[in-house]
Amino acid sequence: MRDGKKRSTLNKSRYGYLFIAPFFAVFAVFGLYPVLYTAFLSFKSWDGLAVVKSAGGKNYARLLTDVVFYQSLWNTFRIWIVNFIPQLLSALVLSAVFTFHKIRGKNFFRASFYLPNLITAASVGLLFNLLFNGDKSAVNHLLVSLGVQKAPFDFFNSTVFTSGLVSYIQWWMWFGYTTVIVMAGITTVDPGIYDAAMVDGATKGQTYRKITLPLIRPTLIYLTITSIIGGMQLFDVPATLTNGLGDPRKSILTTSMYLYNQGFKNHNYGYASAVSAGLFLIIMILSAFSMKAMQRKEEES
Amino acid sequence: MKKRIAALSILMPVAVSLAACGGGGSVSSAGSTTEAEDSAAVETAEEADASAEEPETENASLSGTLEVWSSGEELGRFVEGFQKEYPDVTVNITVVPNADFIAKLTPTLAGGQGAPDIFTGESDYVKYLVESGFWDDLQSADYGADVSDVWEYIVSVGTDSNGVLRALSWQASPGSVMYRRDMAREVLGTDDPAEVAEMLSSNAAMLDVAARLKEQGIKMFASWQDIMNMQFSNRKEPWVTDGKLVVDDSLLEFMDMAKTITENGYDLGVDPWAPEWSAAVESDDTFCYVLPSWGYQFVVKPAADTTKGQWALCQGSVPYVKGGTWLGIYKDSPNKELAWAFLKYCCLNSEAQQAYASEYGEYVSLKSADEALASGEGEEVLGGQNPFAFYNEQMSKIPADLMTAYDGTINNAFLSATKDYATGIKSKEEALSSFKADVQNAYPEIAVD
Repeated sequence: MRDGKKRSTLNKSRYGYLFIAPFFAVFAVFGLYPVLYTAFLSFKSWDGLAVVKSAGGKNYARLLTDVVFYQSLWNTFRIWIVNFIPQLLSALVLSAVFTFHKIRGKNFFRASFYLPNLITAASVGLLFNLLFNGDKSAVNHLLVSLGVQKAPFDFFNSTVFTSGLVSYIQWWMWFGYTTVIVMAGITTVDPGIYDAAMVDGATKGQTYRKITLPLIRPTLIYLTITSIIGGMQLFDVPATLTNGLGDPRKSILTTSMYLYNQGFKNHNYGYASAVSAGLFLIIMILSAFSMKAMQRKEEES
Repeated sequence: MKKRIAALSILMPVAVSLAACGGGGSVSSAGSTTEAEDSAAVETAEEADASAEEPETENASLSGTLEVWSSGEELGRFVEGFQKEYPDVTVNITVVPNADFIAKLTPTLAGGQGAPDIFTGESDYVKYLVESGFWDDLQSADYGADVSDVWEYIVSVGTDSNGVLRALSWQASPGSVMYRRDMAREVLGTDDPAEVAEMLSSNAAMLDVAARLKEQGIKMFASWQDIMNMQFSNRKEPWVTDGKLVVDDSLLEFMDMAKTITENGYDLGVDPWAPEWSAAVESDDTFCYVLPSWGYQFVVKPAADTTKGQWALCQGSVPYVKGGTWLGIYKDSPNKELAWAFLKYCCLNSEAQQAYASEYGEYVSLKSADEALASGEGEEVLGGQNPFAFYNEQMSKIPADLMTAYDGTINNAFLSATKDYATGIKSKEEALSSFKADVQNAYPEIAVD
């Protein structure tokens, strides 16, 4: 009798696996299998239709010396960092304003800041293309009618402008999201600590710097790492903003675009897989690096 | 430390699965075809039954479901007429946007599951499909295509390097310069296509006309990039010959032409398909588009309103062809008989093509159909000019087919390089060397000097 009871409790605990099984089944098919298959293909030479041929380490050897790959990594990182720093700063300022001041229409602002995030990235790319492309585009039209010197401009022939525009679009799309997450982080801080600070005579600025910021560090770590992962895989905005090849002069050719073009346009599936493995490694290193950097700060404080 | 490991282990799958979205696209997109798999399996069974009692002669007793993947909507216009002849055949046309076509098709063909019976190939990558061996030989005993009535160019593109016919098309796309009659009368003193063509008979002559138009405040071209389609016919050799990249002298000359046009403001300074480029149909300061027959179909004709009757077609510095969609039968299709019936109806049936062409105004691939239509009335938009008569003449003059499997990527790379030279950012040598580096990067197997 006693044994039977024991067994039944044991059996019940097995049901737990049943409940988590769907995730692992879906992950195995749509997550794990593609990853393993990509790793497999990265050692092959395949044009998509012909027989898969072994390439040994050739793809990786080429990757190490591929100037375009490094350029695309730098492009992706530059676009990310130029958008991420302003994004975090504006989120911190906005969340401070929203949290510590009574602002009329706070919910309205918060919703409208979040709104750009709901638009499909590809259509945002096309939208900005329409705004800036051509001598008679909306922006050029405006500049000419305002009497700006040298207008109209050939915007998409400038590498600095185009790369900056992508960063700006990314900032515009994501700062609302970041603000919402930071505000959620702030609400987790125990109000008792603020009360204690107030009793001790701390100013609002001191309270934010010395109490809020250290206590929402986990939130900031989370934001940084998810942003690195997302940012290093940037694809749709730069791909739709110009011709998909990163024009002008590959200034907005991101690594994801590069591997897409290598695979699906030039039919080098093996090499595209190697590029994707390289990107994966870079993302791992960057994530580990930023996590370490931010945690060391935590230990110091 | 423990915390860090825990955090890393949580992040790992996130990073892995996100990276997979970028890299494993080829695999996950195969998932979308699973729906078709079941029906394909059913068809196989049906086909097995049908072949047991296969009719001796070809007739209307064919039945079943045909799966067709097409990169455009137009192919669907043949279905109604086809079903009048074959009432028991259902044709399912799946339109896959051209930009994603190859990305969707290759994993399906490689996997062999849920592959369509017929799939299309557009000019940028048709040679890649023709050489891949996934299309059946259309002149084998099963099909026996008779191509005597098809424009030679169409057959040549559909034929692989071993001389085997893999694909045919229902359309042909001869080139033209589409110009404004009113502006031609005003500046050139005539709007007669033959006389205007005479004035545009070389690149240098075209630039002279551009200068004359500029004096009147008219831009000659919508975009110099359109002219590239025509310049490719000026070449003596295709992009790749014997595994080597060939940059023809005529293309170097074209780079200078593009620079002249940009520096002198002979065009609108926009990319093709930009809103401003399309709007130039109704403008009062843009003289011509250098586009093939589909340019008239999709750009000028639908947009011409106040400029109806003010357009005409003439030849530029060289006759050319650009674009087109070819059809082939999947080599492992279980419905080859149905597939052949449909392909034959679209690509080799002169009456079907005449009906199609007269309804939609699209230029078609059979000489007899085009000739029949050339005697009809002209177009209102073109001031009474009959486009079929014009295109027939062009088709008889076009040079040999210079298409390669690499054209899509190489054309784009050349366009980018030419743009950098034309806008003065790079010297010709710099532009050419970055072009060559791009080609080498895309196709390591090609020898680039």
